[in-house]
Amino acid sequence: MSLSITRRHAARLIAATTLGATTLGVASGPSFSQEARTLTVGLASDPVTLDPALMASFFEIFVQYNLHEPLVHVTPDLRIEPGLASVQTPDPLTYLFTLKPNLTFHDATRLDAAAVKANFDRMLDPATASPRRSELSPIDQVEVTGPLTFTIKLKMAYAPLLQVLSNRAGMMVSPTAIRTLGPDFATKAVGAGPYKLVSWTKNSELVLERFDGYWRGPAPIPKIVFRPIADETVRLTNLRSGTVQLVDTVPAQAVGPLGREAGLVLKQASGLGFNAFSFNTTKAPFDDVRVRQAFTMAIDKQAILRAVFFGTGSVANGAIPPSMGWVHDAAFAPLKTNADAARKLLADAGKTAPVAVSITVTNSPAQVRTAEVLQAQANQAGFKVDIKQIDATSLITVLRQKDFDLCMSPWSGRTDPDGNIYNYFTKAGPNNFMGYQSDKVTDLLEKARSAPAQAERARLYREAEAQIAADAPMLFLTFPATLQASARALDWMQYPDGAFRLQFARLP
Amino acid sequence: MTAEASTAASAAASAALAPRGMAGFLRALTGDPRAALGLGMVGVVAVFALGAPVLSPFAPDQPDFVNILAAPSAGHWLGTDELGRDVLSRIIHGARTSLAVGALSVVVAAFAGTVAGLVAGYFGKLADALIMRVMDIVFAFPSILLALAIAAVLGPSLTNAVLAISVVNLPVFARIARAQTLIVRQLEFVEAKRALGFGIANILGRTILPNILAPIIVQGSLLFASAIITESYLSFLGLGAQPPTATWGNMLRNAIGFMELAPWLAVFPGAAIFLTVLGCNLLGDGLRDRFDPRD
Amino acid sequence: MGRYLATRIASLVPILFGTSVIAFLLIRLVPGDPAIALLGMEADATAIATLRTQLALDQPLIVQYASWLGLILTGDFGRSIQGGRQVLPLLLNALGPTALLSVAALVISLSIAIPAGIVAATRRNSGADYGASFLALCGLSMPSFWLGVLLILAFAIHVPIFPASGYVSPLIDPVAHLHHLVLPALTLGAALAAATMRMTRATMLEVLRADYVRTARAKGLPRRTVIWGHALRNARIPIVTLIGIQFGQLLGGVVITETVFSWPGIGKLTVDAIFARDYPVVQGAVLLTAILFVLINLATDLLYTALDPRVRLS
Repeated sequence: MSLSITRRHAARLIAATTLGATTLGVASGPSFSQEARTLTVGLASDPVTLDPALMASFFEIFVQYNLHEPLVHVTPDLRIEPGLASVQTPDPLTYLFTLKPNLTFHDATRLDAAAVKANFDRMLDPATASPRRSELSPIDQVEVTGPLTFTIKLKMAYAPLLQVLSNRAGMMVSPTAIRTLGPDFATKAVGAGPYKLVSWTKNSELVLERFDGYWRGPAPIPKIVFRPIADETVRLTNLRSGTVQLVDTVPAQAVGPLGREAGLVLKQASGLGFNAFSFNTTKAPFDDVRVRQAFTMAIDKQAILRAVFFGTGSVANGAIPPSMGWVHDAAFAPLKTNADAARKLLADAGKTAPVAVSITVTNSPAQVRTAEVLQAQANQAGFKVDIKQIDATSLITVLRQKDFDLCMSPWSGRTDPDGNIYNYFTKAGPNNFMGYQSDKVTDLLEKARSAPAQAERARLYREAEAQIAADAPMLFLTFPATLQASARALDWMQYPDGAFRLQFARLP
Repeated sequence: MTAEASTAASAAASAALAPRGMAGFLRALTGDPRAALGLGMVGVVAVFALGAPVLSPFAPDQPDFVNILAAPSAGHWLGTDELGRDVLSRIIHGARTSLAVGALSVVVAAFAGTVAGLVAGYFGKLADALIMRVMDIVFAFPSILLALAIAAVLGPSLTNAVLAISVVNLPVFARIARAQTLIVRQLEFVEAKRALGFGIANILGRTILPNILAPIIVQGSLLFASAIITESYLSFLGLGAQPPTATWGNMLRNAIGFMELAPWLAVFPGAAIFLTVLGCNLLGDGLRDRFDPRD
Repeated sequence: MGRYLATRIASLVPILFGTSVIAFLLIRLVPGDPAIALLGMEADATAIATLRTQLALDQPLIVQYASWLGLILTGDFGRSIQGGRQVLPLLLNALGPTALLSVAALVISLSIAIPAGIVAATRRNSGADYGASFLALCGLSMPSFWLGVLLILAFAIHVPIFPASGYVSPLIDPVAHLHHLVLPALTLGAALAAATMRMTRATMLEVLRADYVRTARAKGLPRRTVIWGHALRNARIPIVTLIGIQFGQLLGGVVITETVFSWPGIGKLTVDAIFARDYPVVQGAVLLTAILFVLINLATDLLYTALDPRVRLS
């Protein structure tokens, strides 16, 4: 959607650019000291690590595709295209890859089939403690069949494999650098992406410079600087003053005002993830499906969309967002908001109102706001809600230890529906914080990940979603939109996952 | 942190205070214009805190999704916040948190610190060395970091904020109490009581304590100011009271995201902190000058 | 002198030891496991267990502390859990921005506060005195995070003449460095100025009452000579003490200012590390801060002798 806006204005871009540059120069004064050929990007947070095998935080997503190149590429409409390699699938268990010729890493190490195998061996080695290991677990073996060819054999059919390999698990790093840099690799990563690392000063700046050996050819913009600017208002202030030309996330409340600013472009796309809260189904009161349904019906999701997300994104009733058009069912609306029905369900469950429950959220203002709205609404339908704030670092511990009644569990999303649903709703799924034990859903999701035909997969996912909605182990609230903004002069493409792939970007 | 600076600056002065007892105290409160003004300001805040349910025009946690981020108007004098709640009502209710945390944390710190200081000063030797080394260690931490870490360990809640702030302020009271005890214990009437065979508890509690109380109260009024700031900072970091309880600190925290759209959200709660702390400092200053023999 | 120094330094050891033990225990008591947090949502139990072993988190606390202390004594502060950087360079890199900010704040504070304090003291009970004293009290009562927010609102958003946040190294671009420095330095300097002004005023009042000043006045020396020559010289010691105290407090004050302005100093590093449960960074940062704190106190004491030969160290 935003892309079309950019293109419509493409003719005016050059004019806008010159104008923009003048205004920026005046507004920013002495701080605008960069060369014109540098793109400076404002990020909410520094990445934690630059090693794709160890990446586990959301914030690396804005940097990762500039430094690293995955085996296959995913388009903005989520189709798979060849990347470092092209691929053939003679049968659901066999993937034949052929690498482009003459590929090298940033350190000139050859990127051949042996290097690829070394990467997979490293990610699958338990000693690496890589979060990639679970998503690569269906792999039986990686076999080098020639200098540029290798075969991935699966233990079972696994339809999401290529989507997984278009992400962190498919990003190849230099085996030489892994050996020589040791523990410093995380901060000095050597990959095969369009840009190579120049320097990284914690909390200050991450500088990348164009890699001439990139397989698509050198990127148009020679240099990129990422700056962490934690405060969202301040990030936008820097965008206006021209100190940065692109920001990773725009707060929902700024969408309206930003849209009216001539020098800036706001882009929004339907995201991949969901905002949801896990019910703890292993203990009272949410061990009773009627209480979970009652709570779900007590909530007016539209009100949350308005109050917390200022109308951006859309209401969620399941784990699969509108961006996955081939599965998402816009008409799916299982439990309607109805406070009276909620009270009745509580009475049927033999609970005397008010039913005391606690909502656990991290202490970020948007999450606390969500909790406050949930509290106000649920209290009117026979609950008595207590809000427990924790800090972000404790969140996963709290979820894994099931130390909650209802706890936020937002998911940034993956390009394949399997990545949004399998780990959460199968009985042994690592993200099944709810303690949800449904044989039917587990069976449907196992089938859906191995079914070869997309139509069949879509049908299975919709059936699973209907069952999940009936069992209500999770309170889905919204599908967030990916909201980003840039100087109008910058020509760049937005992806649903929010990742920047700046090899496709151009400065005027 | 700002008020801490005053604490340190006044610590030296307080240590030199002559003990005078409670009667002089009341005279000081009414006699010094600054103390009177400060007392008045804190008094107004206290009235708001006590009468919050009656005085506030709206319920502090009642959202109104139609009236989100409304600018100050006749209906909402200080505007509404991101959930449409009345800012004035939230500030009035926030006074409860600020005053309660400020007062409780000072009382806890003053009590524990005074006991530690009395024991260290009266018994000397090993007790003194042990207690004061521990105080030195606590003192060597940047106090805001220590409060933050303790609050993070205990988990966000008002009680825990009180505990965290108390621990941080404890050494100040211990040092003052010890210094004063060292002076008082050598005075004749203490010697006399000892000679007459009075018990330790009696000597410490009945004889020494009343004579070292004045500087501790003065220090308390100054630390009360700093405690209010520390509480608001902990709330600002999400380590204070649980929502939807309104505190000035968590109101400021939420306001940061709306600095452009709704600057009043950041301005008013901050002003409430500022005026309350100013009142406490005026009070503390007035008291201190009154008791300072050099003036 | 040498012996005095040795005793003083020896007495610092238990304080530093105690500080490091408390920091070590306190950060481990904060709920939330760093291995689980670091590996995120996708990690399986094996990965978590492996990482815990690699970070030695499965060892008894006493073993963890002893091995940390052992490495510290060889100058090895370990590696950050978040991202694997070496802790010592991380701390030293953060110390530069903090030092620049602190010095700027101190310069602002002293250049306002000392003249204001002297004027207030010499014209006691005048309008200038009341005005300056009241302003100082306001400065003390202003929560610095609020002052920071107000400055950003006023000078970065409403009238955008200063950057709202960020840091540019003076080695790369001195002008941009100063431009970024203004708002945080004002925020940090305001509270310091208030405290310094009050101390200067109180000290000057005391000195002006002293016999030798009265004598000098009685001898008919010009008022200017008396104040700036005699009185100020004797007010130096308490003021130096205060600056020493302030430097110690700066270390705490920068925590808030750096967080508000995204200034990449030691305060922000420590707060981030506490929230991320980055144990080695928290321990290293607290130890370094405590060392600085006690050394500054020591330096203040030593300065006494330089300023006033009558003070003897014992």
